[in-house]
Amino acid sequence: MYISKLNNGMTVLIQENHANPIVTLDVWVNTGSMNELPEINGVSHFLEHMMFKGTKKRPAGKVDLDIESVGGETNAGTSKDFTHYYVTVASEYVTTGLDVLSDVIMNSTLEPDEVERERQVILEEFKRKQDSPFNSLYDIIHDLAFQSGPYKQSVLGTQESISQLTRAQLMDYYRRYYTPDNMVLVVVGDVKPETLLPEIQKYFGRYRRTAQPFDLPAKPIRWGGPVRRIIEKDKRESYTVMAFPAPGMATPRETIIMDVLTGILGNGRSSRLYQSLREKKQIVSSISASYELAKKPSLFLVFATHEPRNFDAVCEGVLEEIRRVRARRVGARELAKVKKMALNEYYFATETTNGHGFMLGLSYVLSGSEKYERTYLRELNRVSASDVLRAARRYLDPEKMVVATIQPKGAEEPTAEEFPAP
Amino acid sequence: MNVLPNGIRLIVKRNPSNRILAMQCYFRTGSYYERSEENGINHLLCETMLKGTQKRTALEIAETMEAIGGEIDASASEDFVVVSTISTVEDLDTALDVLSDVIVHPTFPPEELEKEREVVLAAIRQQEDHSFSFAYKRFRALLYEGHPYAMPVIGTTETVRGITRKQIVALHRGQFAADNMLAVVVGDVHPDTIARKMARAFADMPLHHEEKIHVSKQFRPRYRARTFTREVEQAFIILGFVTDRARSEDYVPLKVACSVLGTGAAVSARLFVRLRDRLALAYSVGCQMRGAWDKSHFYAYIGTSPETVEMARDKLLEEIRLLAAEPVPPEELERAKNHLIGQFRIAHQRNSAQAEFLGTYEMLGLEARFDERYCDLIKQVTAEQVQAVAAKYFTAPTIVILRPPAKAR
Repeated sequence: MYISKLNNGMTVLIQENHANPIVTLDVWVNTGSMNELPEINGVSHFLEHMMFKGTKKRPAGKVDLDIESVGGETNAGTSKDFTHYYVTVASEYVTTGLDVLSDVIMNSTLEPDEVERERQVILEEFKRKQDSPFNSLYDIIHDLAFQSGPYKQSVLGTQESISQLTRAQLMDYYRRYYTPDNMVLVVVGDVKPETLLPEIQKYFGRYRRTAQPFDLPAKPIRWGGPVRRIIEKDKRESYTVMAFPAPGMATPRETIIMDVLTGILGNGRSSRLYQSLREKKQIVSSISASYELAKKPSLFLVFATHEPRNFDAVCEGVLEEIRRVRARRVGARELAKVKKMALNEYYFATETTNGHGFMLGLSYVLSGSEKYERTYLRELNRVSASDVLRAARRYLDPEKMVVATIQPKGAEEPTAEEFPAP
Repeated sequence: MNVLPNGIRLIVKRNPSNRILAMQCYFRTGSYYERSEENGINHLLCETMLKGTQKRTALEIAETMEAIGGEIDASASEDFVVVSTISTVEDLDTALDVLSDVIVHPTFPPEELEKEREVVLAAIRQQEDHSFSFAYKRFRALLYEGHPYAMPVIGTTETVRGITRKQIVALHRGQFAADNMLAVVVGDVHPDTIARKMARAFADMPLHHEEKIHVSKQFRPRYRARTFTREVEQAFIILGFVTDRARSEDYVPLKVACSVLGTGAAVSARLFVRLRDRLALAYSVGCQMRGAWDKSHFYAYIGTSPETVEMARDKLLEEIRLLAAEPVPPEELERAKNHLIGQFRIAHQRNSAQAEFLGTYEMLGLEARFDERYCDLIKQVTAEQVQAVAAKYFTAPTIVILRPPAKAR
């Protein structure tokens, strides 16, 4: 991998991959909902939507047009830690990609009419999330697990904050955080660093760093558990999420141990939670565990679907496996299996240019250097059974468990009616 | 295409650029061939297939694959069943051993069948809880009424409860035979090596499969519409039309027509620009052209506020009908085609995706060669052809709407 810093402070990572004549350009902006005060909650995500709605030289719609005309695709994502924008194009159009992406990120105009229209679109996105059980639970569990802290708030914001955000607030946030020294450009694919770098300099190097992002008042992390929240909705099945505290990037080695611990408990059909709750006890129809890598201490989560009457048994069944992994060291064979799975998942993820770009960008933005990604596989290999036992004892405290479930409220079957031709 | 001594057809695509190996075995069986009282049997068979063989328990199957960091999966669709693995090339022998074991020697243990039956029943309930799957299932039932494609691949609560182990064993014996199998392998392996290993791994497979019933139907365009009520925040609309089979000459022009409107959720195409960007009616809007062995279909969808359902429905229809009324301007046509070709290339990055394209095209009767010809065929499509297929098929729509009850509106 090639790494460089432009004069304006923008970091550039280039990973050559000539398997296909394709390139992904992925710009990471080091800001997300963790940098939002409650009254502007959702501003990072709102801004992400506005980046495609017109620049000084491209009216709304032209941005997408320029990329899709050459067969490329654009997309973006916002999280609690970061916002990123990427295009994937045939490598012959890499300059078009750089031109469009740099224009979008540096010169968006946030036209007032477009802000109002996009607000309606985001409110629709919000409703869509509310209708999806696990997507709404994801926000609920973060809100419950953190009494306070950078990850308590939803990325999308609340209905009120989305409705009330002003263009001035969007513009202020944009100027504050979208400065080259707060960004990383990741390039993966069929390119040569030595010929691409002057192009990158041409398109991104001309922007000057603006004022530094303000430091927000630190939001101390206070755990909100133990707590159980039961929500009734017009659903047919129960959807349950359980949360425990987990480490952040301040302790990189701990995060890699957590990856292994997560694999042991809930990744794949031979994992402990799957074997115990789905195969032996037969009280869930699906179960898995996840640990989201983040800058600050985040959450270890267990997701399960089950019949409503099994709710208590599911909570108890998960706790039983948590107690077991805290009581005894994992065996050598199980540890080797989980490491091999993690290793291959890494390879599978790097099979596409945007998958690889995501991994490089995420690691860099969260850790602040390329070292995390570079040493990941070596560190993974070094994780021992004692490490896993210690991490389980330290983080997965049964006394702290936070649970949220969406369960059927016993609604009637949907009614159907015919309607005449429009 | 290579034919092994016992009749298995094999396609190998060598890719030296990485160490990942995708192996996929396709069988011509699926919900299209199911009797209505056995609806869901192929799906249930797939779920239970990985749960025990003559030499491995369910746990041993999972552990063997996961110890090599690999994945194994079996899934059913309308037109075929596919059993697949992903591993590294180094673990080819283990992956192939497990793959052939679950295909040739599954035992469908009764207790595992009961377990999977419960999981399938839960999955049916979960489909009811997601707006898209709720609406799409009802849309298909209405669109294809009287045709086997009206049946859900997963089955219904009643049929899944009634399927017996004996029926599953009979389906397996009847369809998982060498002359009904297509194997597709993509990765850095020599075609001769894989042919030799495959022939050995599947040597004791039955040679011939049983004949199946084919039911087809001519569809006359007929307006159908139904509204369903659930307590949802956002209304959801799906509307669409039956088209001809994937191997008809209309298929590629229909792909282009769909791309003009916005395949998936293409952001510079008509539906996204006009319904989302200009009218702010939706976050999620798009369309899809789904090729099938017998009758394909086109559908468009939009998630919108309960207050704007009628407007969104009319605008969707207006955009679709416009394709039949006016030729697509040259520049826009060019863009739609470039977009399709670009998406096709981006989607081909994974070995497993390459195998899936080859296998699916072959199973839809387009032949694996279609994968090579696709981009040229797209380039040749004219504005007149797009207008002609739109006029031919996009006439009387089938519409399904999911919305909250009136009191909440």
